[in-house]
Amino acid sequence: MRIDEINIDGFGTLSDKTIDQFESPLTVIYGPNEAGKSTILSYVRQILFGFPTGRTSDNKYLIESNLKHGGSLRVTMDDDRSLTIARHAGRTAAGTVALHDAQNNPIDASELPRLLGGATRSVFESIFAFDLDELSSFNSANNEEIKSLLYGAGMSAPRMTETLREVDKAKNEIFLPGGQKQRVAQILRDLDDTESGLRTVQNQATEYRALKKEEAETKVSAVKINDSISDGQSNRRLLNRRIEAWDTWIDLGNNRERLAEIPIRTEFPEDPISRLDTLEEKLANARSTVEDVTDRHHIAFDASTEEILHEPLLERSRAVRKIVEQRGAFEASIRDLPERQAELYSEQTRIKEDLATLGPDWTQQRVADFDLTIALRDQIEQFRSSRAEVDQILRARELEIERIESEVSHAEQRSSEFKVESTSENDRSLNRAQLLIASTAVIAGVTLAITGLVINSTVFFGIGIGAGVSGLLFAGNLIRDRGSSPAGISHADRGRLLENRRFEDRLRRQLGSTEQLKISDIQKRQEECVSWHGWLSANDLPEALSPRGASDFLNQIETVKGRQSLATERQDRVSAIQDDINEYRELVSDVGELVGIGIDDDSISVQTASNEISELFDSVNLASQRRDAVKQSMPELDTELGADTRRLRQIETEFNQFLAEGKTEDAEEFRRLAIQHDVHRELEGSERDLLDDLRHIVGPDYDLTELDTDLNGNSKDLMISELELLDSELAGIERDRNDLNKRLGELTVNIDSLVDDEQASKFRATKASLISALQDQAVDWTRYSLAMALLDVTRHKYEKERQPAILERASDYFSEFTDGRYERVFSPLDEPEFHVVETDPYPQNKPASKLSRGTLEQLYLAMRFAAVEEFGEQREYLPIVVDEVLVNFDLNRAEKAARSFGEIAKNNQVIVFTCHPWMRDLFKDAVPGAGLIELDSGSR
Amino acid sequence: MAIYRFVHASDLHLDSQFGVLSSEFPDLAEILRKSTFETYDRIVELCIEEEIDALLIAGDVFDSADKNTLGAQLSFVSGLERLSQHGIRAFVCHGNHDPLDGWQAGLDWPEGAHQFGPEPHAIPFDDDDPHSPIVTGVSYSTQEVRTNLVKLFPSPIASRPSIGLIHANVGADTGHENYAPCTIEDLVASGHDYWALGHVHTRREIRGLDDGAPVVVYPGNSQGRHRNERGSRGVYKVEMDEHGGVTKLEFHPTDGIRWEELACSIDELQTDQDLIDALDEKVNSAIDGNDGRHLVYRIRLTGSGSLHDSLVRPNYSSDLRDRLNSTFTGLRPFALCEKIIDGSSMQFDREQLALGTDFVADLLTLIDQIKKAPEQLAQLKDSAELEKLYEHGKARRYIRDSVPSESILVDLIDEAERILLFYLVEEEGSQS
Repeated sequence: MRIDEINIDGFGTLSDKTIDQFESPLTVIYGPNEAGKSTILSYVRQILFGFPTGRTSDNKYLIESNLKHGGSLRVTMDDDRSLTIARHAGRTAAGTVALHDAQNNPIDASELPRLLGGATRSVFESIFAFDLDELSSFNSANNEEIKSLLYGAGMSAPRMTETLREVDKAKNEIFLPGGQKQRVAQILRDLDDTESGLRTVQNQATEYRALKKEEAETKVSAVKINDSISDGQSNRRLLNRRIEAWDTWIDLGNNRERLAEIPIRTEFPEDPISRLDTLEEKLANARSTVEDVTDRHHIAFDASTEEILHEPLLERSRAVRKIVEQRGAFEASIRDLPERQAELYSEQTRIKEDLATLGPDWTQQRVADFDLTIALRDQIEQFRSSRAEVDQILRARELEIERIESEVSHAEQRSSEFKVESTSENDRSLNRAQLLIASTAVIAGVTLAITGLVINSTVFFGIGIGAGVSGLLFAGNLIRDRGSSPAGISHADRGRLLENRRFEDRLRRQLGSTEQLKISDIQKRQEECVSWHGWLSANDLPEALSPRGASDFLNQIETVKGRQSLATERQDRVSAIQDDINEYRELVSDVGELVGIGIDDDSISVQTASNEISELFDSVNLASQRRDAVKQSMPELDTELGADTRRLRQIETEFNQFLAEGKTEDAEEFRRLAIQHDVHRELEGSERDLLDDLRHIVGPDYDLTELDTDLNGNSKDLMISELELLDSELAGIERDRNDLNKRLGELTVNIDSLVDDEQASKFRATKASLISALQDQAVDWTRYSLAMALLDVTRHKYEKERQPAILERASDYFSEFTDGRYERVFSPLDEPEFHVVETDPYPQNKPASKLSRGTLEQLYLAMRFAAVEEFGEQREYLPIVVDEVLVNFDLNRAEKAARSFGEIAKNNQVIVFTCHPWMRDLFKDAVPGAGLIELDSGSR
Repeated sequence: MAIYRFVHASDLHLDSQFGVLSSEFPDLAEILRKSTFETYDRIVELCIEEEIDALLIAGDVFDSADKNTLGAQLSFVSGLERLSQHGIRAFVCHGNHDPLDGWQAGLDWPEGAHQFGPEPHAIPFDDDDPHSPIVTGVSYSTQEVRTNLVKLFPSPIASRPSIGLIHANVGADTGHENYAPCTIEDLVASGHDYWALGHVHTRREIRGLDDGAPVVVYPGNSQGRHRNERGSRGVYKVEMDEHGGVTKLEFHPTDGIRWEELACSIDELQTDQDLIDALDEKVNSAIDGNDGRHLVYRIRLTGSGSLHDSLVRPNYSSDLRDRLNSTFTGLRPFALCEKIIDGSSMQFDREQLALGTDFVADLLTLIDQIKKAPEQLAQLKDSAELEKLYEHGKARRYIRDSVPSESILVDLIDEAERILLFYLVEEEGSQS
């Protein structure tokens, strides 16, 4: 890479500055102090590798103006590509990089490290771009990295540094001897804690053993003390038993004495008294039963042969039943008869009265025979209606005559009135007023009628018509009246008088003819009467009867006929009741006669007899039934009596046998013997019970013979005091045992708590886990250690093989610079420092630290030249930018060095800053064609 | 012909603890902590259910010579009492983990349970049965028994079936402490019909049914306790006729928690989710195949692919593990992931890298050389200064015995190589 142009937008004191005369392989930039040489050196470093981060001295170039911090470099790569590398202040502290090709096309900024051959900032600053101070500090700062680079391993492994760092870091995070924060250290600490916990818990084992021992000893003591308590308690129990047995034992002795006093037959029935009692009771019962049955047998026999009074009555049982059944009916008939007879009588009386009404010659027989037919009634009706017709005509004729006579009398009166003047003006005016009213009514009526038509109202129409007609009629009457009114003496009156007289005449004629007709009617009626009387006579009816009266007469006859029929019915009823009464009486009389019960005529005696018969029959019947029942029971009684008698014999035999068992025939003797036997038995039982009690009291393991021995000559009080002594001894031992048991309990609890404690197990689990973790970490650490070792070994080998080549170059340059005084540079494997071989005044090895400052700087420059060449061959020929690096060289060695720069510049562009004119000239002389750029202090 | 049946167990290591993340999962820690007891209960239950004649335990009943807990001893005796109540005899000898001079709680053993002493002696199954097998056994008087105890065994009675019961290292097995060493020839020459051995934790039929008399069997421990005790663990059910012929030899698993290593290739996996799904599937199928037992497992990731870069990242594996555990430790039976081991490799071509001339090429070439040359391996081990940790004042007592062997070193070098390549070649790796 060559720098063709430096464009500074803003950097420290420089701004908007371009330096572009870099055509020569080596360019000297000359300027006085503060012309910006150091600034430009820093600028080149920072444009290529970024602005420094943090507060380092390189930060001093930050500008405060509003100009953009940074700028660009135009470069030509080894492959002749032309590029612009620009860097400006940006988001990151290192600034923002932009790459562009010659056509100003952008190139990925991440290409930059590759363009720089993988050189890091420190490599670039140590080897390619440095000032005087940096030249001499070569051996200290970044020693490892630079060495690595110098020896070549780093040259072909651009990430060597990072690799070393990362692997070492990973390794040291796991384990670092003496370290406290590393994972292994942490695990070891945890293990320490766990071990310590485990030890504590392990002490349990010791405690447990001690406790177990004490427990075993305590158990032995407990067994011993239990034995003595057991013995003591056993003795106590024996003594207690003796004391408890004492009273029983005394009773037993007494019992045995009494038993010896009573003689005893060995054989005697078991349970004799109660069995005897039972047998006696059975015997008495059997006897009583036989007696009882015998009595009942006698009574029954008597009863079965008994005679019954009126027994024949039983044969008339049907008649008796009838008497009983019909007694109610009989009594009802007796009660009913008078009423029925009274009814009959009243009916017959009424018939007689009705007959009297019909007439003296009307008998019941005549009435009964009279034929009341419908035809007869129709004929009467014909007569009646025809007479009524005639009478009506006659009456009408008489009314006509009467009217006509009245008119005649009116007419005669009017004729007499015409002879007097009687007309007046008032009458006429009144008539005129009446006419006005009538005409008004007509007009109003017509108007109303029309209105009705117009408004389509029948009411109005009707009222109108009505009013009109009325008006007209009224007017017509007025007019006629005026026209007919008599004219007095006037001509008109005379006319009217004549007219009236003519009317009188006509009336008189009409009266005459009507009277003529009346006479004819009267004749007709007389004929009718004759005919009617003839009909009455023909039908054997009274002559005075009118047709209407005849009709009523027939109704009377019909009534009498009805009564006759009712009377007949009642007569029949009375007869029937009397028949019933007589029949019942005969029945009672008949049966009564059989048992001596007579009856009188009155009904009371019949009823009494009926009751007596009924009662008597019931008692006879009952007696008969009883006797029959007794008869039927007789065989059964016979059987019962036989059985009971046999049973009595058996019991008697059993009883006598039982007495015989007691060797006696007398029950009283038997009883005496039995009591004696019982007492003996009882005493034997008492002995057994007492023995049982004793055995129960003393227990099965205490022999009673032994007890006898123990109690003979002893006393209860003696034994009680012995017991008290034993008890107090036992209490003492019990206390001892309780203490022991308490201790045992404590021991068990303590031992159990040890048993339950799983802490040791848990600690050991933790320990195992930690050890496992430790082993894992060890493996991880081993892996990283091996990686580091592999790197080291490889690097060592690589460097060892590569070292001669790189150091040979350095040796050449160093020898060149020093005119051959020093001929070789080398790096002993076991020393961090370079050594040189000095030839003058005599060959000797010298560590670099022993060289003078100028010589040391020459050595370091030689080393740099070698590295620059190696780097270029392996990767990229980067430009060399140096600032006053030759000032400590003597002139001779400076000339040599300048010439070497010229040689180097054939591959690597060289830019030399100086403020010394002699240095400028030195380079210009030593390197033909060297370029010169002069800066002045005002160039910023 | 009478047939006698017994169960042969060994290395119960009652109350021994599991080296697994117990602090993270207190519930599981409790299950793990009690697992040896539960296993012992299962053995007792098996004996009762199968109505066998005797239970033989060939040493290491307890885990620790000086620290066996009272709880362990009580539980053990309680089991013996149950057997006794069912008329089952128990023959017990002690080994290097529970020698006779270790602390014993002084508990009474029930009738029918026999504890062998420091001198070999013979006890019949049944005093009243003249045909019943005779068990000859011996216990370690102290932890360090380096003599051949088999030589001290009395000769068996020819007419009776005979069983030898001993905790011993047969044939100088280098994987185990060489206690009571003896050879197979010693056992064959002894004249016993069946050797009930203990000590080696991995089940092994040194002489099986087809090898003729005697049958020599290590049943292995009855419950695996750490990642190196993977797979099923249990006891042997044995049938023997009255002439001592073994007619049946059958392994019966008794472990309640099984340790496994599950391999999972990242070859076909593209995304983190793919990996999570693949792991879930692996674990689920392991649970299904575990017959109701709890599972403690490691996952070994193999193959190569883009996921490799993620796996190398710090904490990535442990996060994956935490996720698996949050899913499966709440289940019963649980499945606890102890660790995820990344055995996967980068996608780039290692051979191609090794052919270069740069540092990485030198590194790979060197690694190849070291893996082939034990002396170089030893040199590398030295320069890695492993003793700084393994001989560390406090740590050494815990990890001294786990200094990586050659083969483990080779594995670890492979893993170290993956780490180095991840860092050194990352850019090219990510560009490819």
